[in-house]
This record gives sequence, C-alpha cells and structure tokens, in this order.
Amino acid sequence: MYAHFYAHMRWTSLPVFALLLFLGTFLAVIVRVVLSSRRQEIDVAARLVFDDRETTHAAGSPRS
Amino acid sequence: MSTTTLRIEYDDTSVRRFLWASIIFGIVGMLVGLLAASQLAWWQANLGVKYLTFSRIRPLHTNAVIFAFVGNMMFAGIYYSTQRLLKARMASDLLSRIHFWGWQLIIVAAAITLPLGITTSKEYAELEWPIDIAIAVVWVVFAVNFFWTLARRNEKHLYVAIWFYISTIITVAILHIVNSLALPLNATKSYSVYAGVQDALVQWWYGHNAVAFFLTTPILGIMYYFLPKAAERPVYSYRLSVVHFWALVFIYIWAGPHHLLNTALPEWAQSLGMVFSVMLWAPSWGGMLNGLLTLRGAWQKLREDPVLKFFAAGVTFYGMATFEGPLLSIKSVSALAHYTDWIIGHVHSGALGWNGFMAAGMFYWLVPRLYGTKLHSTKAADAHFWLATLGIVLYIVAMWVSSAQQGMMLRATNPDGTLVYPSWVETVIAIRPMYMLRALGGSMYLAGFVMMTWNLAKTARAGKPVTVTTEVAVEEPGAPEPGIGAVLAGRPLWFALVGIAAVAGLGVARPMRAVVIIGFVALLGELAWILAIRDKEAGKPSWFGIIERRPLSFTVLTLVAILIGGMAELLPTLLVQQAVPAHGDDAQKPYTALELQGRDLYVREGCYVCHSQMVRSLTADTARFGEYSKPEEFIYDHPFQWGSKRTGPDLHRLGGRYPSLWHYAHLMDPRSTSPGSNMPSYKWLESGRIDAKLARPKLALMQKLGVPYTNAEVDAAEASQKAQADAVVTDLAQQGVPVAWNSEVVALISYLQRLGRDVGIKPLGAAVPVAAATTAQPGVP
Repeated sequence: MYAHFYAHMRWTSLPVFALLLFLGTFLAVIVRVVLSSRRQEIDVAARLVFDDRETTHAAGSPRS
Repeated sequence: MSTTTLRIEYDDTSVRRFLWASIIFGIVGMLVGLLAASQLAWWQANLGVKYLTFSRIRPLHTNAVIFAFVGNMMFAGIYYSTQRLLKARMASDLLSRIHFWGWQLIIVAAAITLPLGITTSKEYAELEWPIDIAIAVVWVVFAVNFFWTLARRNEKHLYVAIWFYISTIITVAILHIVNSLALPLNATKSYSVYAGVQDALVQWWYGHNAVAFFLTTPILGIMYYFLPKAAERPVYSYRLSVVHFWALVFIYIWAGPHHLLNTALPEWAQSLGMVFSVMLWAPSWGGMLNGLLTLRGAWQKLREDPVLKFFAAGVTFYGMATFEGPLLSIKSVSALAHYTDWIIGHVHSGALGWNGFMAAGMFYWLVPRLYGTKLHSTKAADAHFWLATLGIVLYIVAMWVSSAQQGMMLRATNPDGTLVYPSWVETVIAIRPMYMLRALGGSMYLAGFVMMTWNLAKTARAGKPVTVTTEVAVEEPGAPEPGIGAVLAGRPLWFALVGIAAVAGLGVARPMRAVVIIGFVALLGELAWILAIRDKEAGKPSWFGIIERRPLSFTVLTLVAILIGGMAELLPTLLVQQAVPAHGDDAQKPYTALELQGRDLYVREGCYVCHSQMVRSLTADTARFGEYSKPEEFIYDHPFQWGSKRTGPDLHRLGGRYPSLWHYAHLMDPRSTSPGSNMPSYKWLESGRIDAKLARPKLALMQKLGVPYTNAEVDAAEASQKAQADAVVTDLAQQGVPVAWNSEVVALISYLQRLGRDVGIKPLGAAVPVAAATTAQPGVP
C-alpha cells in the first residue's frame, strides 16, 4: 500500500538525501570533537572557569 | 612584554538583587499558575472575580515565570559569571541599577495590566506598547552594560558561556522589536501591524525563539559556567560546546512554524519548521551530553551535594524536553498533540525541570558564597529536590495521559464516519482527574520552592553580604591582534556559507542534482578538514582562536547566523501580495465597528487562551467544527486569534451556528447550555459598557493598517455600531432578555456571530434553538 501511495510522488527521495547529509554532518562533528587537534588551545579556554584567585571580605569592611 | 597587576572588586550587589527578585517572583508566578490550574479542575476557583479568571491570569503566570523568575535568575547568573570570566567589574553600577529596577517595574506593570485585560493577546508578548518600549529600553541598558564590560575586559579569551550570553542579548532584542510592532490606539490599546497568517508566523517565530533565546541559551551559558565550578572539573568537551553553540543558534531560529502545523500557514513554512526542529535534536543533545559528561568521575558527589543533584536533573530534563520537542514537531504527532495538554506538559518539563532546577542549583551554589557562609540545611535542599522531582513527574504524566485521552476521543469515529464523541464537553469531563493531578504536582513543586526560599533566607541571615576582589595580571599590548580582515578571510566562515548555500539548493533540486550537491558538500567538508590540518602544522593560529577574542566580529557572525533563518522564513510571507480579491462578491469583508469592539473584548478576556480559531485540515477537525480555515479569511485580523490550546472547542466556524440567546446564556452561565463545562461565567460582560466613541478611531486605525474601510464607513462608525447592536438587542428582548445596546455582551455576541462566515461557507449546523442546544451538539463549548 505504501509503495503504491508513494509511487506518484516525485520528491520522496529528497528527505532520504537530507537525512544522509544530516547523519554525515553528525558523524563528522563527533569525529572532530573526539580528535585531539589543537587540544592545548582548547584546554586553555576550558579552564577559564577556574581562573579565580578571589578574596572575600564583608561588604563595607576595610580591605586587607 | 610587561605586565601590571590590577585589583578588581566585583559588583555582587546586583547579583544578590536579581537572585532574590527571581525567588520572590518565582513564588508569585507559581502561585498564579496553581490558581490557574485549579480553575481547570474547579471552575469556581476564580471566586467570581474577573481579575482572577483563568483567561486573564494565565498570561500573567507565563509572563511571571518566564520574565520575572527565569529573567531575574538569568541576570543574576550572567552578572556573576560575566565579571569573573572577563576579569572585570560590570562597566557601570548606574546601568546595573537601572537594569534591575527597570526590569522590576516592568514586571509590576505586567502584574497590574494583565489581570485588567490590557493585553495584545500575542503569547509571551501580551504587554501593551508602552511596556514594550520600556522593555526595549531596559534591554538596551543591559546590552550596553554587558558589551561595555566586554570592551573593558582583562581576559583575552571569551569563554563559551559569554557566547551564549551574546546570542541571547542580540536575538531577544530583534525578536522583541519585530514581533511588537504595532500602531497604538491609546495608552492601553494597540493593534499589531501584521495580520492573520503573517501575524501568526511572526508571533511563533518570536514565541518559539523566546523559549530558545530567553529560556535556553542563557541557561546553557549558566550551565557551562556553574556546572564545571560545582563539579570542580572542566566541561567534558570544550570543542563540543563550540559546535553546540553555533549549531544551536543557527538551527533554533528556523523552528517557529512547528507551532502552526496543519494550519493555514503555507506548506513550505510548515515543512521548514518541522525539518529544522528535528535537526535541533542533535545540537540539543550534544549540549545535554556535554553537561552530563562533565560529571564524569564525580557521580559520587551527587549523593551529598544538592547543587550537583539539581544540575544533573536539570540537564537531564533539558535532554528530555529537547527529545520531546522535535517529536512533537513531526506533523503527524502534532496532529494529535497540538492544542492538547501534551504541549503544556512539554513546556513544564522544560520550565520546571530545566529552568527551575538549574535555577535551584545555581541559587544553592551562589547564596553561601554571596553571604560568606555555609548552606543552612543540606537535608532541606535534598527534600526540596525529591519533592520537586516527584511534583514534575506527576505534572507531566498527568498532561501526557490527558492529551492521549482527549486526543484519541476527539479523533474517534464510528464505522459510518460520524464522531463517537461529538460533544466537546465529554472530553473535558474525561480529563478532569488529570487536571486535579496536575494541580497536586504543581503544589508539590511550589512547596519545594518555598522550602528552598526558607533555606536560602536562613543561610543569608547566618552570614553577611561579602565583597569579592581579585587580582589580575594584565599584559601590556604587544603585537597587534589580527584585524577584521583575518576574521572575514577565515576559511571556516566561507566554507560554512558555501555549505549552507549548497544545502539550501536541496530544496529545489531533483534527485540526481541532490546527489551532486551532497557529494559537493562532503568534498567541501573534506577540503576544510585538510586545510585546517595544514594550517595547524604550519603553526598558523586557528580561525576559532581569532574569532573568540573579537567580541564585535563574534557578535556580527552570531547575528548573521540568526538572521539567515529568520529572513528565509519571514520575508517571503511578509512580502507576498495577498492573492485575495478586495472587491466583488468574493471579497473578504472587514469587521463592522461593533464586531471590532466585540473582537477587542474577545482579546481583553483572553478567549484565545482556551479557544482556537483555526480549523485544521484534519478529519478530526473538519468533522467536528466544519470547513477548514483558509489563509485569506484572516487578512483583516490584527492581531490573529488562532490560539495555541483548546480547553474549549474551536470557534472559527461558530458564526451563525447558534442564536444570540444561546451565546448570551452561555456567556452568563456556561453550564446552562453546556452541562459539565469548566468555562467560567463572564457575567461582568452584561453590566460592562463599550466605549462607543472609540468606534471611529478604531476603524481609522485599521484603515491605516490596510483594512479597506471607506472614509464614509469610518465617519459612520458610531451610527452603524448602534444600528447593529439594536438588532441584537431586539432579538434578545423578544426572548425575554433585556440588555442595553452598548452592553459589552452585545458587542461580543456580534463578533462571535461573524466568525468564519466570509467565504460563503454555511455553518455546520443550522441555528439551534437555545433549549435544544442544551443537549450534546457537535462542537458545543
């Protein structure tokens, strides 16, 4: 029934191509993420969160 | 290169202000939500007060939780993390104060105007034009303060959280301004410059991206800052966060039309919305997995640390909601789920699970640090977590069951093709237990939130507000940074643009050409990869390394990324000339002056909150409501009234179906015509009076918006209004109901009787005597 239904639709192959393209991009991104090129540069950025060296004191009190 | 040491004192006063404002408005917003939810199960819960009625307070609930609770939480997180990531105090304390107090004033204005019925009826953008202008001004103040701080930063690199904040600031500004364009009638009333289909598309482009860029991207920025801090380890993959950012920002903006599937929106726009929504799955889950995997090796901490508990559960809810969203965007799934409670459940798994839990995690982490003490009670925080989790589960399961039950009942047909459940009320009665369960789940969540408030207040009282300073070694400028030319000449930019253009060609390509395009894109990717490796081996700086230090270029590229999708969807629909006859028998007729007054009352009372005006091209809809809705039927609808949820039936083919007496009886006491209905009484419409003098300026304003009223019609607006009202009054009086001609109920009845009658379509049923209408009829509200 489905084959008969789709037989007259000219564009049904396009979503398949789009899906393949999507999956290809998806896989490429995964490989790119896992590969370790420029790891040092990336690690520096990832560690920005921890670059604190903060001191705290009560608001309004003299600073040491 | 020499360095100097700077001592910086962070502005955490603003953080504390936004944090407490978020908590207070969170309680208010959830209380209003609970009141609204209760009215669905027990219609009497509005206590007969119009200002507390569901259709007026539902927009108050959504605005309060989105803009007051999440908005203030987001600002607290942004102010805290931005200063630390940029090693700079916020640029201007004055701007920070204007931002805070301006935002709170806007929230108060919303809390006053929405219950009064002062609304544009555009969901999540209901506030009227003076408040819209205030929002734009305060947002610009925030943006200036943020970008000024960026310009004065003492850290070269821009951490990924900052990227998400930048995208939030510029996109929300564009969404708000474009969607809010309106011509004012007076200080409390305006009409959208868009009409019908165009208005619907602009509204849901805004509406969906309000979710994307107000409820998602800033919270993702907060996730990328606070989750690694709490877990004491860097984000799982910084590279994935880069991909996550660009993919999410580019794809999200296209997804709006999935709110309008199977409607009168052009098919191509629906398909684009659906395809991009499904594609969103990948970046959303990339971000979700990146967040969860940041906890690698630290899972044992979840047992003791409530902060991590909330963050882990929040990110998991993000994953669940972003799985469910694309699923609901598939046309066949939407056919069942749209207009039902599944959407409400989906939204709340995001709002309560993702936003609420990320907020709680951030608050539990921040308050002890902002007050220099320890959390008052970890046990209470744990109890909050489990109470809230159970509350969410009860809530969303109730909504799933409600949607499945009502959706299946609405589409059930007998062997002869007639509806098994022709009365709408039957389906409402069937799901009432789920409404009760939902109210219980919401109550549990709110109880947990109150526990958190107590816990945090005790924590703050045990400590004192602290001032945080840091010392930063600042390098004197050495070699000049790469200029804008290096950004524009960056290969990744051009590879991306050519790749996007090639993929866009798929939309018009036949299969063989599509194969060629896909091959070309694959080759392009391969080439990009090879060149990137070659550049690295040659010791050249990466394009990413250049761009992430240049906030202006970065902002422009982000703007381009969001504008591509926005323009591709909006421009064709906005620029197309209406192929609708303006003259002759087939012409659409503009609303009469009285109908327009009635329409404004429909907007004021928030009828669109529970009733759609869109018969979809689905058998379940056409068999129940009549002929499906056509785009040309809405060309004079400023603003559109398609709605997004059917607590009651669709009204687009209501005109002429029942006599005026039926409408009068239904509005005064809905259960007199529809036993079992959960619609509240709108008795105040009888004593309320329309402002007859507004008829003329209203028509004149519509004329400016392109509605083809003649000058004579505008001049005669008041007289024609009275004449039409007199006809309704006479009709009602003959059946023993005396009403004044300028009574609001007369205007509203006139509007309801007009609905869906412009294309020569006969109503599904002949006018039904009021007595007969008390029995089940197809589509009885």
